[in-house]
Amino acid sequence: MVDKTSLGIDISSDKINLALLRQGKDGIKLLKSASGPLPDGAIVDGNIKEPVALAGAIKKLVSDNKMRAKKITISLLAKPFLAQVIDLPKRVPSNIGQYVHSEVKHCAVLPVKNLAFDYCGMALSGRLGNSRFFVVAAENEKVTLIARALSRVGLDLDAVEPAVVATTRALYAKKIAKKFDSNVLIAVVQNATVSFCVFRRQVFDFIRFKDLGQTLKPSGPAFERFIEQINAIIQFYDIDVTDSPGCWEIVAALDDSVESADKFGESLRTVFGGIDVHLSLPQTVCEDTDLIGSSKAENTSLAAVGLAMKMLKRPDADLQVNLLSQEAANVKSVKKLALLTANIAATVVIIMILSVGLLNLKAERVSDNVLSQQQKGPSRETQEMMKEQSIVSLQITDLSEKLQTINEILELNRISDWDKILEDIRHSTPKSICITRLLSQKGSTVTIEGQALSYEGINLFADTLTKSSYIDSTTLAGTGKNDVDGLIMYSISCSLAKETRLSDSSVQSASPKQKAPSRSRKGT
Amino acid sequence: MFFESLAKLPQVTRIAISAVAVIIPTAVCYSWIVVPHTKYLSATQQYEFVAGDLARKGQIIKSKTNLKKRELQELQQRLIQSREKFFTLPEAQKFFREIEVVSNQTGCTVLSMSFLSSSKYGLKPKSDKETPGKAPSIISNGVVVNFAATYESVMAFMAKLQDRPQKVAVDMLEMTSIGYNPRILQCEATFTIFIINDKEIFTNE
Repeated sequence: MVDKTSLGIDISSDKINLALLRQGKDGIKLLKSASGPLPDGAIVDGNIKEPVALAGAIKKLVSDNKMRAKKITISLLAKPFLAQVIDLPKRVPSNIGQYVHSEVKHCAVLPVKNLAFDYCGMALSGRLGNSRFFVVAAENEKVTLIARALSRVGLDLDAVEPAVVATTRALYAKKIAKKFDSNVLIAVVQNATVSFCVFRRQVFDFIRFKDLGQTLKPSGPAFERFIEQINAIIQFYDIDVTDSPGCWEIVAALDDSVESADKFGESLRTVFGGIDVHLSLPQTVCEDTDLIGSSKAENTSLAAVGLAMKMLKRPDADLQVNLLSQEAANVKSVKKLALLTANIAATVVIIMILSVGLLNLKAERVSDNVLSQQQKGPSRETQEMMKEQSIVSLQITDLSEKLQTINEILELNRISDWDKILEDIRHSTPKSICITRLLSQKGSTVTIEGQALSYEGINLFADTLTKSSYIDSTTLAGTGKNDVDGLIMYSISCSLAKETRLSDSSVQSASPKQKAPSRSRKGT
Repeated sequence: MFFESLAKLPQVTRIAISAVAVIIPTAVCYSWIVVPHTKYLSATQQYEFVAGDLARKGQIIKSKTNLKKRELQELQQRLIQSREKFFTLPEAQKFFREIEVVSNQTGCTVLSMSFLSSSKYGLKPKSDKETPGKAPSIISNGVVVNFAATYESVMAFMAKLQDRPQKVAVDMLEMTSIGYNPRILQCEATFTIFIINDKEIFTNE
């Protein structure tokens, strides 16, 4: 997956150049470019002396121009460094990396230990092969120095490569690609240093660096040495390379240090009359590269554009070298992991805070419910109420017992309506009946004794007595005839109505009239 | 330096460190921050349940207490009503004094009167501090009256004696006709009244 935006940082001897590219459907677009001065003393003799100041300057430039990119590539700032094409022996070693490492170690200008190197296979006549390798090496400390400094200011590098490789990448689409019948010599001029690259039939084939000793001008010793180097390369190819096309094109990529670039171009064309000579300047980036919509491309560093292109998907010379160590590259993934961890932790904290808030809210609601329940409920404590209930129950028991006793006292064989009972007896007494004795004991029965003329009268008397509401039943207890006067002696036992007896003694009294007693007659 | 040190570690280790860096603080924060609130909420909910239950029980107890209070009031009312059925000691003395007067008023001629010994009805004392020598709460006193009267006079006599709020019980009544004058009856009646010795028994205070 290709990241959409990529930032290239090219640091020359006096300037910082930035190019921000974005890969769209139509191609790569230059979003922004910027350049700024190097801090004083940041780079001395091609090496970084003040990495913090340099990183700060880069960060400021990036921030000022509001450049945000997911991928960042920077040019190699280390001297000495090695950029070399290595031929593999006929017996290809099993561990090519080990072989390349041992070859690089023999380079006199580089340290034996702590070496940063990378290599890539080179294509042969349009076909990829492993017989030749392009190797880049430098002291690891010098490479990681700027990577650490930039990491501390929030810019994590993805790649470090020489500026000349980036420049050829930028020029590849328009100046190198599809040149099947010619050799293209790219001369990248940076102050007094010139990097020569040869693409034979559009395939990278040769690289060489030359220090001209002074800034290149349209004439003078530096120019003569420049011409001399080009002629030497062309001569080398004409003599030593058998299948060289013989046709040449020269592309001189100049930076701002070259004075009078037009005259320089004229001089070059004059010297190499039969060879196409092209000048690539910061002002002509849009013409020399395949960037689209390059209206903002004026004064953009070609190397910065090439560096930015490294992390984008596009056809190039397949020079994929990266001097950034795996550890340094891991820093970015570590930071991503740390950021992810921090985000998760922050999310957890937020969730906890929200949870605590929700819990508190719920607890408050519950507390409010409890409070309202307490307010709605009985004001006194339940225990007191139970005590009160117990006291009331005891009082009820006490009162009930008293009432029961009182009722028992009042209900004991008591008749309160004796006058009415006597009245009923008098009204029930027929004319032929005479009462001689009336006896009541314990208030439950009344025994009536007397004399009668006939039995019918006695029966009538007993029947009539039962009609009284105060008498339940009557029983003819005995009869006998007096032989002297012929009268019939009788004895009637009346059972008094219970309800009547209780009517007044019971607290819950009932009227005798409402409770009609049952009447029965027993005996004759 | 921190990131560079981490970058030197294997990826598995880095992931493990990140996981630990999240899990341990999360667990600690959870136990220190969230758990107390969770427990507090749980305790509050339990308290709410208990309080609700207590409130319901309180309501039930209140209702029951109110019912019992009403029942107590009814009992007290009934007790007060039953109070009218009893004589006080002065009323009893007056009643016994008035028997002869009433008999004369109703046409009855009292021949003799004999008082019966008192019966004692013990009520459960309100408190256990009942004085040993104190009389029982309710006592019954009776009198046997021998009198001569007509049937109508006996009725009037009975009506007059019993025409009062207090209970006048007729334990025994015997009427016998005298041979020489069938209208005049020889009567013997036993009247019993109930006397309150301690009026406090009708209160429940």
